[in-house]
Order: sequence, then C-alpha cells, then structure tokens
Amino acid sequence: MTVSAEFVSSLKPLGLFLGGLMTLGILSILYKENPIYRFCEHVFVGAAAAHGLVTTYANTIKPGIQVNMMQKGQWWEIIAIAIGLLIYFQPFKKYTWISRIPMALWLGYNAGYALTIRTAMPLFSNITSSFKDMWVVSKGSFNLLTTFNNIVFVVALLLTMIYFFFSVQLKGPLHRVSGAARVFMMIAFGYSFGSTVMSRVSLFLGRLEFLFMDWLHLL
Amino acid sequence: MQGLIRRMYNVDRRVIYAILLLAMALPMFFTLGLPINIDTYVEAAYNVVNELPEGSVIWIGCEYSASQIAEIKPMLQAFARLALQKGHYIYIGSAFADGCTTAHNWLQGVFAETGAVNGENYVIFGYRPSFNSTMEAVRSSVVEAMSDRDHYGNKLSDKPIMKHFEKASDIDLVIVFDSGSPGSDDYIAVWRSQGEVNLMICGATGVELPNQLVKYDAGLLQGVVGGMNGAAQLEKLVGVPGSATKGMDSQGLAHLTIIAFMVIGNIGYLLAKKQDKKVS
Amino acid sequence: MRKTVPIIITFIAGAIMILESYIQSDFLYKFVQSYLARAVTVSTAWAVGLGAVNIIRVHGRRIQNKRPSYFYSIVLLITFFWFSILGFVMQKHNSDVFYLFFYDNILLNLSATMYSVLAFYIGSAAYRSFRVRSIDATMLLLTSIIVMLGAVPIGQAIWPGFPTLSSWIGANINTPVLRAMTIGLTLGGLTQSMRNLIGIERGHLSGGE
Repeated sequence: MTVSAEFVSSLKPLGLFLGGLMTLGILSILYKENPIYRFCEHVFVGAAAAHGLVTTYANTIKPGIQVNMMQKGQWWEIIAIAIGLLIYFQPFKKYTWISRIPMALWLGYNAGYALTIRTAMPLFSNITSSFKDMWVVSKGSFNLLTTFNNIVFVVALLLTMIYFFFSVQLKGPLHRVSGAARVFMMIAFGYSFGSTVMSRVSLFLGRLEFLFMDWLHLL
Repeated sequence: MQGLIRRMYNVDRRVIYAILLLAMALPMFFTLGLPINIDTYVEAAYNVVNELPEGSVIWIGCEYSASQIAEIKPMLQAFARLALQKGHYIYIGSAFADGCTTAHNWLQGVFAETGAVNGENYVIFGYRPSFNSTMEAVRSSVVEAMSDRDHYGNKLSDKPIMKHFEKASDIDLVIVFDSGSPGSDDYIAVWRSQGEVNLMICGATGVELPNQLVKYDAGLLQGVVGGMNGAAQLEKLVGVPGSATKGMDSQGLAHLTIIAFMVIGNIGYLLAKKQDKKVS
Repeated sequence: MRKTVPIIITFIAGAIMILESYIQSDFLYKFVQSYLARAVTVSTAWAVGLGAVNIIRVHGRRIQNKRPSYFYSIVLLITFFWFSILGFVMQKHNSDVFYLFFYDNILLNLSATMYSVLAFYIGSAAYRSFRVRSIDATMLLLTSIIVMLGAVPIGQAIWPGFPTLSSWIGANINTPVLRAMTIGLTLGGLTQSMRNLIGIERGHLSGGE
C-alpha cells in the first residue's frame, strides 16, 4: 500500500505548519510547564518508540525472515528468534527468570568481546602514545615548546592516575599531589564544559534556522 | 546597593532565556562574516578524504539521532560531497534508528548535485540494532551481515557498487559521526583493533569532541571534526559554505552572552561575600 | 537452576568469543561470524518490541484507571499506533513519502527541539552555579571562558590568542586527563567483564521469583 507523491507534495505547507507548531510547543516549556508542552512531549515519545520499532522490523526482522530463512534456508535462526522472544516474559513477575536467558547471551557475548584484542588494542595505543619525549630536539636544536608541552602532558596524566588510585590512601606528599591533580582535572572539565556549551547552543541554532527560514520565510 | 548586588546573582531565568534568544536570533539577520580559524585535527580529517586514491571504499557510520541535525548535517553533507566529487564509493550504515533515515533526507541534495546514483556511487544499508554483532559479521561478508537488503528493502547483491566492498578489509576509510554510544570506540574495537581498517576519522558533536581528541592523539583516529565550529571549518576547506558557517556569528554572540552572565553572577557573589564579611 | 542456567549461557558465549580471538581456527571464526554474532543480532532485533510493550502497558493502565492527565496517555498511544501502522503497512517505509512526511515534519522537529532547550538550561545553570569559591572552581570557570571564546570567530577577533590557547588546553591538559580516566575505565571494564563471565556479578539476575 502506498500514497501518491503528488498528494504528499500538496501537503507540504501543512507539514511545515505542523512542524513549526510542534517546535513552538516544546519551546513553551522555557516560560513554564503547560499543557501544550505535555501534549508535544507525549507525541514525541509515541512517535520515537514507533519509529524505532518499524525501522528494526524493516531493516532486520523482515529481511531476516524473507532472505535468510526463506531464500537461503537458514532455519536455525528460529532458535535465535525464540531466544529474543523470551525477553517478553519480563513484565510477568512469576516468569521474569525466563527473560534472563537472552540477557545472559548478550552479556556473555559482550563480556567475551571485551576480553579480547578489541579492548586491548585501544588501551595499549592510549598507553604507548602517552610516552612522550621529555627532551625534544628537532632539526639539530632543542625545541622548548614541544618539550614543555610533553612535560605538561605527562605530569597531567600521572597526577590524574595517582588521584584515581584507590588502593592506597593518599597521605602526606601524595595528598598535595591530589590537590594538584584536581586543578588539572578542573581545567579539563572546563574544556569539556566549553565544548558542551558550543554543542547545546548549536542545537538551538538549528531550530532557529528552521523557524526563520523554512517556517516564517524571514531569511 | 545591596539590592543591586543581590539582583546581580539572582536574575530570573526567563530574563536569561530572553536575552540568550535575542543573542542567537539577531546575528541571523545581520551577519558579521568574521574569518574562521582552522584547527589541525579538522584539516587532517579533510586531507585524509582529499588524498585517498580515486575509487576508494568509504564507510560512513551515521551514529547519531535526529536531534543533532545542526552539528552533524553540515559535516555529513560536506564529507559526502567531497567523497563523491573525488569519485569514491560511499556505504552508509547506522546503529541508530534515525541515522539512515536522516542520511537519506539530508543527502538527496548532495546526490543530485554530484550526480550520484544509488547502487552505483552510494548505498544506504539501513539501521541494524545490535552494533557489535552486525559489524563483527561484516568482517566476513557485508551482504550476509545486512541480510542482502538495503535501507529501502532492495537486494544488495544486485547492486554494481557491492563488487568493491565484500568484507570489512575492503574498506579504505571509515567516517564515523559520533554522538555517544555506539560510536568511534566501537568501530575501533570491532574493525581497527583487528586490522580490518587503517584509516578512521570522526565527525563528533561538541560534547564528544574532548573524547575524540584523546583517540586522535593516540593515533586511533586520523582526524576529528567537532561540533558546529568544526563543521564550519570543514565547509571552508571544502569551499561550500553552509548552515554551520552561517551559524557561527549567532554561536559567538551566544557564547559572549553566557560568559557575561557568568561574570555578572560572580561579581555579585564576590561583592555580596565582601558585604557579609563587613557585617560580621 | 533459574540463576545457574543464565550464568552457564553467559560463560559459554563469552568463552567462545575469547577462544575465537586467541585460537586460529576457521571453525571458531565461522561459528562466531555466521552463527553467534548473527544470533545476537536477530535476538536483539526481536527484543526491541519490549519497549513498545511496556509503553502500551503503562499508558494503557493509566487510561483504564483514569489516572490524572490520562488524556496525554491517549495522545501518546494514538501517535504510537499511527506511526506503527504507517510503518508496517506502507511498502518500503524508509523511502515512502507518506511515512517520511510525518517523520520529517513531526518526529524530526520534536526530537531536535527537545534537545535544543538545553541551550537555555546550560546558560542558566552556568550563571547560577559557576562561582569562584576556590582555585579549582576558578580554573574551571576561566578554562570554560577561554574555550568558549576560542571556538568562535568573535573570540578570535577579541584576541587572536584564544583559539591557540584553547587548542593547547585541549591537546596538553584535556587529553592526558581524559586519557588517564579512559585507561582506568577500560581496566575497570575488563574486570567487570571477567566478573560477569565467571558469574561473580549477578545483579542482572535479580528481580522476579
């Protein structure tokens, strides 16, 4: 079943209008909690849940049945489907234990997955790339800037690792080290905060562009 | 005086919202057109795509949700445009329900502009819910991993483009658009760590940028484009200014407004503290 | 048995993954690629509906018992069923213009706007909570100001050093600090994976009878 593209094309102004209303409905929360916001919020939750479901069906479930099972004869996948369906026992208190079986499979797969080169290689890359030159000579002369940068890098790394070393209590000189580590960490968190502000502001800029350009045609 | 000080660090949140809204909205009508500075890691990402030999296989991982449109859309369009102009083949997959649907929407203009044809120059695989296991299966056969169906339900094995990409080791470059998990960490774990792929670049949201720089420094990523700022830099390098470039003035004024409020709040706080000390 | 069987399944699945990685065997490689990975993909796909089942249960109950604001539950379920029906009934919904009409105009806009209000919340939160109470807090405040100005052309126009300083902080302080945390988290993750595999960690087995 399908609907003609011409008909949908004729609905474009209505679609834009609805989109603008939905956007303003959500933004109304900035003034205060109100029924319009609650309405839009619930529409979002319903639509998002449905979209995830239909996309999974169209991209994984349907091809799995049509192609893998019916065309290629991989009927063993029924076992995998049965395991996946066991999760639906979770809402029933008496049978919740059955839903642990698919969870056990996923947990085992991912736990085993982690205990291999898949986790080890990035870890080793991080460790080996932390061994920086503490006396850098480039083109025959001493490079003060790179040497300074590398020293700061290694000091910050070591201080942070000491700060999170919980096996030994940080007393005496180690306690002062943790204070220095906290300063470096606050600088790093400040960097993360600055990046986060940039990210959040740009999310709203996208909405403003939609409202001014597509909806109100002011730009 | 005391009243003024208390008002300085007790501004109503709706006043802050209104001023912030004005700061973001006004530059959309009056552009400043200030020059954009290019970061080394953004230039590195651009160079990786630019210097690939023609006909390279590029996997684009759309690991983001639709809410990241403002940051990710310009990056996605810029990379796709550059790759298609250079004659590369692009394969788009996602572990997010919105990833491929938005890629289909946002790239139609780029496909039309570059004359790219579905099945010949690009293919969209579609959403697969379990990232690790699907990407693991791609290591032996991508057609099997995707159940021989693309995002639109068409047969993958019939498409001419699939002769260039049979398994993960055929990929020349992975471009991951990272907004959290799954993201570049997972691509590195599944493919990079097992030697299937040697080149990987990341288009990250601003929130993820600090984490991606760690991987860039470790050599796990060959370039990073972060946030709307990174997208604007990429648009400058590609030579096609878009929504990211237009948004930089608004972004700048918004940052200045937030900084101004932070400073005002702290001035009020310090003055109030000084007054309280005098009284006691 | 109700706890033992899942622990055994976890161990077997994990052991196969580990053995495949450390033993050069075509059989193990093919088994993991074609069977185990595929089984996880298929079972996960069929389990995605659990979220939908719970939504219908929770909101259905709210409507049935006429709880306060049950009208919104009706709205949620109508939207859910409308999108679901369109998606299942429309052929090739991923390219169907009618489904995409609703996706683009309703879901996309709602999704983007929900997160965009964070821009205001973060501005308000920064104003209220960033106080120079200590050296640590001052460093946090100053760094965030430098990074915010370094990220935008206006900042560069105020002082050309902001982008350079921001990049320097990113490369030489942010990177090592986050790396130290990443190393710690990875080691912790490995330990946790081992605990899950051998059945010491049983938090996921609690609940129900």
